[in-house]
Amino acid sequence: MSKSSPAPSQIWIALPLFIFGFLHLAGALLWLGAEPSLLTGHFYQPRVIAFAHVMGLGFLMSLVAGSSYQLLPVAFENPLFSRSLAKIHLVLHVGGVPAMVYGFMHWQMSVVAVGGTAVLCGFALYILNVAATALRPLRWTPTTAGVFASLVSLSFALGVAAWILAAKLGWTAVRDPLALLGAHTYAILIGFFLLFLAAVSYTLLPMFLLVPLTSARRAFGSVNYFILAVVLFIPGQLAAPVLLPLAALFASLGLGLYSVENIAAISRSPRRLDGGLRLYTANLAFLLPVAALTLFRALQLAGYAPTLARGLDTLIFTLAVFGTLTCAILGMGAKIVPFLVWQHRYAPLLGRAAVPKLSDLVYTRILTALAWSVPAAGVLLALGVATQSDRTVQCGAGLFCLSVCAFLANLLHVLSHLWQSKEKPFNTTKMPFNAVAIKP
Amino acid sequence: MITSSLDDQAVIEHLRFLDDPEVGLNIVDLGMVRSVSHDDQGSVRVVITPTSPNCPMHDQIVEGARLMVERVPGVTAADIIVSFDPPWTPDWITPAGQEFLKNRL
Repeated sequence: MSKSSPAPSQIWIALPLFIFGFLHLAGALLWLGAEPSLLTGHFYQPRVIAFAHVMGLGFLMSLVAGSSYQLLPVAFENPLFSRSLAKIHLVLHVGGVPAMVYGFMHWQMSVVAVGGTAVLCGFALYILNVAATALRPLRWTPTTAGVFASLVSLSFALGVAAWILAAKLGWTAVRDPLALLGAHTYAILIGFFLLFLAAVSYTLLPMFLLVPLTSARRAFGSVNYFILAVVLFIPGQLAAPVLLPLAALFASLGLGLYSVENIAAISRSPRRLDGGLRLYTANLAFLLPVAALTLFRALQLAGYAPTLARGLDTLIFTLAVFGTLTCAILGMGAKIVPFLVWQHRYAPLLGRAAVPKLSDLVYTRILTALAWSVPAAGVLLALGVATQSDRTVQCGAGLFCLSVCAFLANLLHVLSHLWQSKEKPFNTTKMPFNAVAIKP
Repeated sequence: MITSSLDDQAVIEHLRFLDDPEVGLNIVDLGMVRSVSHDDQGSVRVVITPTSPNCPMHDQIVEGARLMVERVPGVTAADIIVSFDPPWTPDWITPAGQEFLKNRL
């Protein structure tokens, strides 16, 4: 009948990863504003690859890892397997990512190898930790199925990255490095980030929206379609492009079911969406163009559609990373960071004093504004890439930078509660006696 | 079972001072308090159903509820039971709670 909470605060693991990630996002946007050709030029250049790793590893992976250590024990209803492994991962990640980015920028593969080894070891510990947390004991839900599948994809993507690096160092030969790079990118984007996002949303969104999962069958269906997509994308990229349209179709179906499930949960919620949830749900607006363009690109690669313009891969990357994933992850960050601070500072005082609510920790107007400005900045960036316009990319990066500055101001406000506690004693004389019956 | 010095309604009114920190609504209007009963020694038993089995705050809410119940005059002991059977449903939110949730950002 009763059980204890599986989720003690992991603030000193999650928070440093979050701050590391937010700083990388801010840095990436400043860099993009100064050098818009990162998105409008050809993608196979040292600086573009360095930029992709600032966004992918420095920003997205840091936030996903930080969220995982706090949220996955909640989703799995099990305590985190090992805090020590998580701390080692934190150190390896924070040390390894800047080295990798520096190595890519200056095309020094030996530096990339050093940083990459640290990052790889860190993620090996992450995968072990998350899998072991899910298994004690295993509850088979759409979230656990999706997280396990995303961990397999991540392992594959890391293996491919190690293979490409070994080839660059001359330790092994690779016939088609661009195909391998494509397999690495799609395994990370669709197989890890999008699948992980969908899987975790099936636990977190109902929890925040105060509704049950509207259809477990639909949620499992989306996870299965993502898995089929990744299984076909990889051989399609490496050897058999004819498989790519089918892979893209499955990815689109997975994204479609994920959107329908999220929209159904939102429409049934008794709650008005707050700024964090609005920002999170803005990710859904980008899914249709991501799915349609991925399908078109797959048809191109298989030889069934004409090549209309260059930069379609970059456009898909921009919509998926700056649109879907950034909205979803910043939205979740806007919910998780106040929770971490609240749990650390005020949870022990609940019932002893009048403590602030989570909404009292944030600037609600800033978060509401961000729910519009972040997606708008994502659209501007995508327009800039689609029209190959450096000026439009700079406008998008500028709006994004302003949004991230506002987000960081809100973050500082939340963190101020760590050193400036704002609870008040209960005013017991005001405790009323007002006979209102509880529903049976 | 009911004594003259302790009233279940007083317990409920004290529990209205305990908010779910994420939602911002007190746990009574949120429909988390399922039953309140007491014996003639002043020992109170409250059954609480968190809004989700994954709720990361239910340990703190249970402890907070225990502390709030112990403030009620006449209470000698508070036993807070967490139950997920039946699971919480939005239908349990009071009309006042529904109004609050629709308007609050």
